[in-house]
Amino acid sequence: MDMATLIGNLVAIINGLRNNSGDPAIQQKLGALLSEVLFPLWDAALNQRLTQTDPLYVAATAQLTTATKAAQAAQTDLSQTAAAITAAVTAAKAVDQVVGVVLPVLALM
Amino acid sequence: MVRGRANRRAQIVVVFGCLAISGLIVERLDRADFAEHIMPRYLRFGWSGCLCGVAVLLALGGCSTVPLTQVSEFGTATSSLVTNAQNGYELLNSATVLEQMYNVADNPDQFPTQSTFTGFFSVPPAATPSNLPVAATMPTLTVEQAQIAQQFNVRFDLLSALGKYGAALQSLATTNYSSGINSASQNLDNSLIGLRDSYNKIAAADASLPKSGINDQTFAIISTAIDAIGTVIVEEKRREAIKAIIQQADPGVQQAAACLEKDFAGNDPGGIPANVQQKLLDAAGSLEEAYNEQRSGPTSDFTKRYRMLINIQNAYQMADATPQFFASIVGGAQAMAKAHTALVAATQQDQFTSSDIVSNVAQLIGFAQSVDQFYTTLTTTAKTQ
Repeated sequence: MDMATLIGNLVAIINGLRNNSGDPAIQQKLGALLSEVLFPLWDAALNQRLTQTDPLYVAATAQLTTATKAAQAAQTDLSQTAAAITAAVTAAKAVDQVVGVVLPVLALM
Repeated sequence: MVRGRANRRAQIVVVFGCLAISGLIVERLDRADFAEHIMPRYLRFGWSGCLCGVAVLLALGGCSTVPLTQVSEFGTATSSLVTNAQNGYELLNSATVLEQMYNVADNPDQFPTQSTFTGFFSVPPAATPSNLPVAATMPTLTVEQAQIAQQFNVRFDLLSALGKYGAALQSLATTNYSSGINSASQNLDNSLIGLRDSYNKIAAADASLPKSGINDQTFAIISTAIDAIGTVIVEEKRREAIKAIIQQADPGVQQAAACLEKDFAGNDPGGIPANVQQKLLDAAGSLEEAYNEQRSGPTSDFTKRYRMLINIQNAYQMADATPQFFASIVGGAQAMAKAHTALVAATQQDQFTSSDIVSNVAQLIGFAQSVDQFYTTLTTTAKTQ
């Protein structure tokens, strides 16, 4: 799967997590992850011509797969949400190395 | 052209046939009888023969007065479809801005900056719905956004050219004045140049796409055909010109349709339709978050909570309608490509209408209407927020 598709899958799961959680604190964390990190990266991946054989690209897609699994685990067990956020931030850092979107916010997460 | 010559040959054969039969009858008659009894009858037969010939001639020549209804309807439906396809790209931009605004609104620790209101790209003001955030007035784009803007703007240009082609074709098919032909011809030239140049820019950024099928020869052929119409509009010359135009423009129309399909097709989670839907779902999430923060606050009451729930419901409805909106654009693009192919096939046989064209153009009109309806639903829902 290409990077944009993987980010799209991750975003869909995190959106579902956020929208089905009644806890404003969790919703705020997931909302920030979506709007400040994942959407800008997705937009960049969607609109750039990326080389899929680039080692950084391969590493980023592997991280995205891991993050997707962590998010799926949180779907059935909300206590896993923090771990899902951590995995998503790790994946986002890897993706950012490929698409070159400067996200200082990542350092704060 | 071949069919036109065959028609004329048939007309000549019928007229001469009528006269020949009359001649044979006369030869078999006695001259006296001829003068006394037959001449008046001959004259009657001659007239009725001639009338018969003229009737057949008109029937055969009727092809030249076949209305260009389907060509005109194709043009109108294409223009309408294109406007809403442009709205599809604009929706991507609006959803981005909307999602950013909601995220700021639902988090008291955040404050708006210029980038909160910056979408993907600058949208031509004419294509910006009045009830959605106006990206054209947004601040300077970052380098990244500028690159994306370039990609989207070139698609706007391609669609705009396609819409102008449809409108020019419709105009050529219906105008009754030479001035109308001149202006339609100018619009047509501009639209085909636009189709060629904007498509080539898209192809330059995508190695899987070939170069535009519209070239200098295309313009030369079309120009000759339009010049031949002259100052007095003769139906046959008009049809010849439209035939040349449809056949020459076909590669450009097919490539533009394929481009739309590629951008908006399918349920690819990494594609534009999924991106727009997830942004709208995120906007719904921000509203939910605000609701959950305020539901137990001191100022919370039933009316406020209910109003917020209506807003959340609207956001979900908007997100739910999005895939269908994009699916309709893709369906419309496919219908447009098929209808144009049917027009090409028919004009190659010197026909301007056929059951194939009628059904394909009807399908295209249906898609253009449904895309329009979906877009109205989306923007109406956004307006109520």
